[in-house]
Amino acid sequence: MPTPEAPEVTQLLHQWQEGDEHALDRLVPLVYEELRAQAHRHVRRERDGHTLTPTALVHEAFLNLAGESPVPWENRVHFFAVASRVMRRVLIWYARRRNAAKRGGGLAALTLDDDLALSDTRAEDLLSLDDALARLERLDTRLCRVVECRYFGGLSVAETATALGISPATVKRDWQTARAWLRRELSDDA
Amino acid sequence: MDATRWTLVRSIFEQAADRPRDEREALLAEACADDVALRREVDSLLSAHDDETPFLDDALATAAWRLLDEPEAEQVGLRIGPYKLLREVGRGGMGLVYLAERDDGQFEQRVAVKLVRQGHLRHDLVRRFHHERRVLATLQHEGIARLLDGGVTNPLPGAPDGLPYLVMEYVEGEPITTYCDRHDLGIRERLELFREVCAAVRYAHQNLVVHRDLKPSNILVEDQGGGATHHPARRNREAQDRPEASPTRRPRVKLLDFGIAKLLDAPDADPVLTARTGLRALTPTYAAPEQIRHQPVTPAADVYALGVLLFELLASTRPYDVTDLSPSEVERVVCETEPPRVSDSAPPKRQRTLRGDLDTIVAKALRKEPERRYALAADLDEDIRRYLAQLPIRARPDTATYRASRFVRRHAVGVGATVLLVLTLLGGLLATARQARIADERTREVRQLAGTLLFEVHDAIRDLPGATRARETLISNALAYLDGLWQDRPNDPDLQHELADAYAQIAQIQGHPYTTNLGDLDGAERSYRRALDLRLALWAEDSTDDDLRHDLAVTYRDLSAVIGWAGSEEALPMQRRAMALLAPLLARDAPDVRHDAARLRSEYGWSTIFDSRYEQGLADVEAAIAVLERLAAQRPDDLQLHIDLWRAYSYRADGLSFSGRHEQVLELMETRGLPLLDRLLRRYPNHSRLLYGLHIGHNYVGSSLQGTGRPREALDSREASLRYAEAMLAVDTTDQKSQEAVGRSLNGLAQSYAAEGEVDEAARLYRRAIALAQARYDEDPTNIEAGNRLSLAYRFLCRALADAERYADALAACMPSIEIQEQVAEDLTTGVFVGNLGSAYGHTARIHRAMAERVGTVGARQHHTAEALRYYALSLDVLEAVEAAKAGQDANWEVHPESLRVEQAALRRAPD
Repeated sequence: MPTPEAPEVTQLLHQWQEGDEHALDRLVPLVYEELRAQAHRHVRRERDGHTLTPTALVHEAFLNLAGESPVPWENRVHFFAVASRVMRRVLIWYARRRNAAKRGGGLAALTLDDDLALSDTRAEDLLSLDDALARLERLDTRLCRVVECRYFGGLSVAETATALGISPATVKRDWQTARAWLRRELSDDA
Repeated sequence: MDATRWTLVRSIFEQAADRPRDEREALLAEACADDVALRREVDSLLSAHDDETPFLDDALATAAWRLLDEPEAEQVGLRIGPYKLLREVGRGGMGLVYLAERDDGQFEQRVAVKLVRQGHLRHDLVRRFHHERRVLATLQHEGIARLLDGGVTNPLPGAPDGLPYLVMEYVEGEPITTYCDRHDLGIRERLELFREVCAAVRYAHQNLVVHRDLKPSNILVEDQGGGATHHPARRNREAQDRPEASPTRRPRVKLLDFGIAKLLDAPDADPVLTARTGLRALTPTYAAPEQIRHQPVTPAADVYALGVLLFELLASTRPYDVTDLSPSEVERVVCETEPPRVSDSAPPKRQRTLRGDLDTIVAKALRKEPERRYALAADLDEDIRRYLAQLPIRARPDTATYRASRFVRRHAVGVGATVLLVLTLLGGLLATARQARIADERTREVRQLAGTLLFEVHDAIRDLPGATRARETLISNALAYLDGLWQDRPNDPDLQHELADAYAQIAQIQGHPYTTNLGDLDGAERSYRRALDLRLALWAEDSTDDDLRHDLAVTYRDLSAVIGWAGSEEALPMQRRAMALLAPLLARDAPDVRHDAARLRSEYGWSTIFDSRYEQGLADVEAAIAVLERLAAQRPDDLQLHIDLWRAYSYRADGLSFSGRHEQVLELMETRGLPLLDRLLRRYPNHSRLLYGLHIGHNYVGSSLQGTGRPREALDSREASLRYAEAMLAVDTTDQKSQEAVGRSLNGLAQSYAAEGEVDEAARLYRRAIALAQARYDEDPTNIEAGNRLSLAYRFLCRALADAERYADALAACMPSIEIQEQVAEDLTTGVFVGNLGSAYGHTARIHRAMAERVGTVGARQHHTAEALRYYALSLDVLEAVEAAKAGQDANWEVHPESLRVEQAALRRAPD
């Protein structure tokens, strides 16, 4: 009997597309690990003068995860969307940790270079942004996805359009609306 | 704000935002009218929109990427078993590697701990993991970093299972390629170093362990003393200039991660689930074509990787550059492109030395077909030795004809060749084993056959079309080998353990009813009994070994499943014995044990139900269900556990329906059984065992509805049952179980339609069942079971038509039934098939009698009466013979001979 040879990640992507939210929970650690491995490889290279392009890395992460089997294009672009959500979680996690450290949570200060660091203010901004995004998600899920792809995932308008299965024009409009909404929310908070 | 309101806000905002500010007012005034709140909402968004200070402009992704690379400080300082993690020393596709030290005061030791980060080993694989880890731990060679320990960590909070980890000798060194280049070694020095690699791989191959992932980062050169300084050859040269230099020691090659790739990529016990996990971290540059294509892996795969390495060492470049290629391009390059000659790729000053023998050696190691490569690392090593000693090498260059034929055969290469290679290897081992004394060191190497190579090959070919013959050969060879060992009655307990494991595994392949198997129940029984005997003997020696206790219980359970399937009365006592064995282990509260025990209890209950002791059987099954449900809630990712829970539900459904409690069957299936399967199927689409479960489950519902007088409602369930059976068949059109499932559903559905008086629909479905059965019988006309089923399918149709008084059509369906049944009954003496022939005659007789009663003309009536009498006689001839053979036992007649006799007598008395 033939076995479903598709690697775990493509199966999970498929299930997620079908609306199985559990699949996302199982995807995230998988994607997280692979992104970490990619980051490790490339940040080292970057120190030798190579530039880091997030999209290329996400592509590569996906290839690694999807293995040798042929993969439908939709899987790849959905993977982008998952990767963007993972990125959001990563950043928020660090921002939280950083805040905890500042409040005397006992963790050693993070040794990040200044240019890329999550400065203290930025960490706080990120946390408020995350809260606002959570509210936006309840109001309009697609806007939240677009912000994740564009801002956290570093995807271009075209890539975001493919990842979310909407037209580039819609992405542009959504992005504009989401930005206005978030900016207002965040200034209300201030 | 509700969704409608937001949509409105959004739409007004978007229209306004697109316009210049001075043109917005009219639009807003009209759109918002006097809804002040709406206007305020839109205005606030617009003013945020108009704010031109930077906001969300720089994508944070880059920062996120860097954050991702932060060392995960929290792991360090953790303890895993007796080891304390000191720092991270590497990471790869499989997980993280830490430098660690043993700090339980026993002894000081620095080790490398590899923590598998991706994918949890499901608990059913943990035992296999342990087994293979034992095998790997026996590798003791100075060139191989030893596997010291390993296990599964305690589950983290919220995680269903622990993470597997491995503890290895810590090696401080640099990759062999870097080492050679940094020391600027010459060709001879490189070859000598390479031979050390070969020696280590050779040793592993003798132990039937294949590395599978040889690459420079797994082949380190350790400098002995003096740190990473000088290669001795260089140092000697320098030593002449600097006489004070200390005496040198040889650098040592150490291979890491032997067999780990396989250990972590262990195929699932469940064939349908052999989905590759993301953790398969092959390095395509060094992977052999058969690995790229997921074909069986043999030592020749390591030879290939050694070939790539040798190429790299000699030419300082790789034969292929696959770094930026897509998977399909990698496959094309590795599997189809001829590698360049190593001499052509090397720097100019080395080219002359490489041309000739070294070109030939490298080319032979890099051949696409495993069987045309050096079979073992030892053979490659031998040719290098010969080259260095200036002896003629054994490898021959490819001929032009060979190249041409390869082109043709390229796509045909696969299972056959590789299996052949393994069989050859087995043959050789067999001979060696016979010569050697059993307790001999050599046998220790040989016995690993069962644990590793054999099952690796079997698992790899199991699902390939047409692999059955190869599997059978493989199994019979392996059995011959094991039987050879068995006959010598080994008294080495380790060997007995291994033999028992091997027999148990072979038995499962031969015929465990709940897994994909070769259908050889007798063979499976024999092998399980051998495993049982061996384990009982070990148990007699040491009844404190809990693992053995568990193994023994599982052997009893599996053996009872095999013989219970064949209806043996021995099955029940065996299951009781197994439960008694497991009972003391339950105190430890290990989920595995509770799972096994509950599964056992459900099977025991089922056997009891089949023994017609319904209440008792149901009580056991229900107790098992309670445990399994609890476990399943704790382990939502454990598919095997959920499938076992479903099986327990189906046992309960059997018990309930046998004792006539249809309403309870309905409730069980509708509230628990089917929802469980539906949930699982969403996660594992097209999983054949789930589809099969749904097929059976809807069938239960259908028969229960039918049984409680609701045939109309039963139709829906039977349709559903058919749909799932068809889905199974779509996954694999040759699968016998799926074909039978479709047949069963078609017949069930047809019966329901027939009962509803919709004969045409019933006949249509019966005809589909016939076509299916016909196809199977055509496939293999010697398969009498298939013939019997085909004949029965015609009879179903025949009966439905006769019941609807469509006698001519019924007769037309009866004729093939008789014809086929005669063919099958011919070579048979067993009662059931002959009895079926009697039934076919009996039906025909009844149809003729009915026609005789109804047709108008005298001639026709006489004809049908004569035919009826002829068929009554034929039928009773056969059935009375069966009756005599049964000697008064209660037989399950399709057509009872007694009623035929009555009908026959009545017809004889009837006036013409």
